[in-house]
Amino acid sequence: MKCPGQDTRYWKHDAIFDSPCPKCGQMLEFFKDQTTTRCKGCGEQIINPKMDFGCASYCQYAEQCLGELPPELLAKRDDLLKDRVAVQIKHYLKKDFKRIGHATRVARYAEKIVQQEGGIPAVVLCAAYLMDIGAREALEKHGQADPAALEKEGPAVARKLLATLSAKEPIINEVCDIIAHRQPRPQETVNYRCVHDAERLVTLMEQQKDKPHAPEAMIGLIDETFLTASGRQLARTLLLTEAKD
Amino acid sequence: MKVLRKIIEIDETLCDGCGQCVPACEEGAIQIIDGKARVVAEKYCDGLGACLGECPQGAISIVERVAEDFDPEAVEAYLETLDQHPQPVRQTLACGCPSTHLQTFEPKTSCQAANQPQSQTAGHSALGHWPIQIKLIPPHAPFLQQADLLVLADCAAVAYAALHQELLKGRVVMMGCPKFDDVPEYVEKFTEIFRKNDINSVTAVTMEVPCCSGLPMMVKNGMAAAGKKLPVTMLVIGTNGTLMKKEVL
Repeated sequence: MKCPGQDTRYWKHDAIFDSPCPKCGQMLEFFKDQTTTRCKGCGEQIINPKMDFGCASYCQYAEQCLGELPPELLAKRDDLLKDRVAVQIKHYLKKDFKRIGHATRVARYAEKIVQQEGGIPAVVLCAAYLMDIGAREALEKHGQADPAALEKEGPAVARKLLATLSAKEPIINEVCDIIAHRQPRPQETVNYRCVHDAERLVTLMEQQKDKPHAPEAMIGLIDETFLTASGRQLARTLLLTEAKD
Repeated sequence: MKVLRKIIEIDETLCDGCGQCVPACEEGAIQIIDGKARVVAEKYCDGLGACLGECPQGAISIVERVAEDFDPEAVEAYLETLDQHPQPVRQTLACGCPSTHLQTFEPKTSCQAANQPQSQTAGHSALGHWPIQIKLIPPHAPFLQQADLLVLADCAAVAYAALHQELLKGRVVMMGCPKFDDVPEYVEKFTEIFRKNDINSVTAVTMEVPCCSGLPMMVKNGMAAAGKKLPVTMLVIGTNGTLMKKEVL
């Protein structure tokens, strides 16, 4: 059995292409499944510029493929983890569209915040998607999926899911730590603060729909409860602009 | 409300309308329209990409662009409408693709069978429906109602000579390979089948090789998830084509 992307029978005319060497300009020929080639001009090992990892976000054999890549590309592996988690969260939540909507929004804003705060995107995004991962277990064991029950049940489910996706142990530990407590401790990491603010922002947006806060009260809430400057700014833009509308 | 967010994009030049992406989307956001997979409305697509790996053409990708925000309430309302007015086009994965076109074949009458030339009797097929691969049979296929299921490992079909005469006749066959196919996907498929249909009986036929043991397991797991309890008759075929074991699980 072979991945259709690597099986030459499925290849189209652009599967073999030329690209200039970024070091010396010599034209190099690449096959689409070739990760690197050695430049005959300067002798450097050059990475295939069209290497696409889109399939790795869902393919069950991605780990085997990525494991063979050069170190420069292996660095992208953690980044791909969040995309694979996104697909898994959907399989887990199935028809729980409300939680799916909540998780996608938390991840969306967490991505914006982490870009400005300088945290680790793989940790922040995975934690953002996995905040409600224990919902099913919480309902079964506690009869409700409130924050306390999610904190209790979520980490074990998240750990199992991340291990299935071959996430590295430090990432798994930090993600599980983040989703295990929604109330911030005195000293929190930048990753925690990014996820916390994204979660807080989405929760406030959802509350605004049902029972809007007055702008002054909202400003107070943002200033008191948000942990990052980027989170506060994003919240002011989204919550106060909408409040004016 | 429009926001900058992730959403799926379908490359229509690559899409051949096979419809394999349609069941992967719980929200029903993808439908086959005019022979191509299309997102019915932006607000139904959550952008998480559960459909990504389903397209054999690689036509689906995730992009970030300004789009209407995902709306869970609108999805609920939309799915309710679909339940009330099921689209006939969805019955065959909506694509018209011959491999997924649901068909039921009438069995030969005794008169037709008696008048069949001797030379052609060996070629008579006992198959009563199409498609036959587990992956291609939708849980709502009409031939699944009141069916006696024959869940068959691919290799057993080739190895067991009396398949048509002894096992296939009167049964709805579902073929697959527990070694190479996606077992969790099949467990979900069987769960839906047991949930949506009154199945009379199940016969699971595997080869003697260890990797085949997953086949009756996924039937049992699907049954358990659907809350049904039916005895599963299990037949094991040897690699030389002999019937080695028959037991009720």
